[in-house]
Amino acid sequence: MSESRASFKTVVLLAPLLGAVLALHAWGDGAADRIGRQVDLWQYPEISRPPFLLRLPRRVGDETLVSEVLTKFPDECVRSFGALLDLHPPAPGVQVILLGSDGASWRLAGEAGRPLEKNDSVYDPERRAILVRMEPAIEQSRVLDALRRGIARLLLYDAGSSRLMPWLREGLVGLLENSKAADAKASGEDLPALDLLLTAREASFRGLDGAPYARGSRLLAAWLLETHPTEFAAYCRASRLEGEVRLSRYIETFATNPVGEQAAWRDWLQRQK
Amino acid sequence: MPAWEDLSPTTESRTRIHRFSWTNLLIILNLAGFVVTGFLQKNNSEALAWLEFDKGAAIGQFRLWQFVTYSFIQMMEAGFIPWLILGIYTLYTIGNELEADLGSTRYLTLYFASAAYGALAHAVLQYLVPAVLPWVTMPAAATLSAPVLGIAATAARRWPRRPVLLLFFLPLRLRTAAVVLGAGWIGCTFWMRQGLGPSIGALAAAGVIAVLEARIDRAFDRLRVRRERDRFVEEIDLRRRTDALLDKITREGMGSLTRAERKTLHQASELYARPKGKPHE
Repeated sequence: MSESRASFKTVVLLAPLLGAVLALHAWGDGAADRIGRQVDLWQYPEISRPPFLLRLPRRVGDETLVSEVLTKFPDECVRSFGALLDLHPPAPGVQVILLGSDGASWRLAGEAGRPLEKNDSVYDPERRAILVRMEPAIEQSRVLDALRRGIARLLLYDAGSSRLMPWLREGLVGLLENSKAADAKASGEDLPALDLLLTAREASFRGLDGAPYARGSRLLAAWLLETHPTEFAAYCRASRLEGEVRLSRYIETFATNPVGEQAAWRDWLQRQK
Repeated sequence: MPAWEDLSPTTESRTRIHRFSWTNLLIILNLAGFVVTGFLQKNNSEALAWLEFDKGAAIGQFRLWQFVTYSFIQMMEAGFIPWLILGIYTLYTIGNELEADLGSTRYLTLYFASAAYGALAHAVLQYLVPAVLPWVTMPAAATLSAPVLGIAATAARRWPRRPVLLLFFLPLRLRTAAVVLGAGWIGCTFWMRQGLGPSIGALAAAGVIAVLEARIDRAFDRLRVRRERDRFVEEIDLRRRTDALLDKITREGMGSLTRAERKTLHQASELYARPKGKPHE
């Protein structure tokens, strides 16, 4: 074999390999991202519902009820609790992603959405996205409840809820979504004691183990609004302005007679059932 | 067609272990890689990560040696050991035959090109699969499947009707055996989650190399024939013009030649001074 022929063959053999390596080095990750986004867009098409951008699996054809919640619920919240909690309609560009149970939603779920339980929701402030995890057999009412909870979290976050104590943050979500009746029915002996609830950290409210804490917080907020409306409003205002504030600063009996308050709350709970 | 007992008159001498061949050295390296992988997995997994093929390191950080070294790193799993033995057996028999037929340089080029293009295919899968199926992870490649399948595919193309014993006992034609081996290996990669990209890449590379090499050879041969034909025609013309000039010199003397005619004579003297045995002389 002549030298020129061998050289030519070597070039033909190596050039595509080298070219491909350089091309993948330069554009590989970007191209993979674009392909991934296109796949997501196909599986989760975007539907504009200002100020929201709704994304739900293609197989879920009818989004009428979801759109209705997106249109009405924020306005209802602002109308009912706007003055108390300084709520405003959300700014445009909020993504609402209804995640299927399949793995295709893995990337859209992101870090915030991966640990989500079925029929639960979370608001991811970094992506400005409400994420709702659905079951394989979609239960519409539970999905819509989870969506309302997600919207409530968005409204409260925009109103500065990140500074609130964890129980108050969850309790206000319950007020906005008006979950008192459902929570009271579901609650049993598993509800934590008031002192534990008032001092619980963020992690205590997560996952299945955190459900009694979340439910307890929502019921506590409902009880406070019903029994101590003025003090609770003042407490909410102070929490928004100052961050974490002790409840006993505004309702003295929580400091002087915590056992009595605990008993009163339990009695109220019994009456709600 | 040869009988089963005379696969090749030189098979025995070519595959004997005491006779040096690059194939046997590669087999030893693969077996050594299997043992070394066992040690590194337990004691120094970082060193293993330098040798396996992963697109993040090989392409992202230009650790280009991984395009080759991954083929000497073998999985330490019970399910992989039969494939390792089959791969080594394929190299020992078919690989040695092919090396003797192609020559060491072309054989080694084919071996490492299969490994490198196998790695490239694995890199493409590592980019694409997580984009389309985000919950699927593509581990680093560590397998000899690419060069083995590249060698087997090339041999099957050269000697499709050559008889072989697949899995040491099943008599088949080489082309059929290569198809069975390739399909089995690719099927097994889904189960082992290892080697799909390298297998596909190597088979594609071996096919493309076989087709392209033949075309390049034909193109170069055509070019050579055309050049020789042109030179032959030129020589004939030069001889004719030289004869006419010699007649002129006889008639009118050297002084009558023009500059162009002197140049023609010079070219003719160069042509006649060429060593004998060259074409067209």
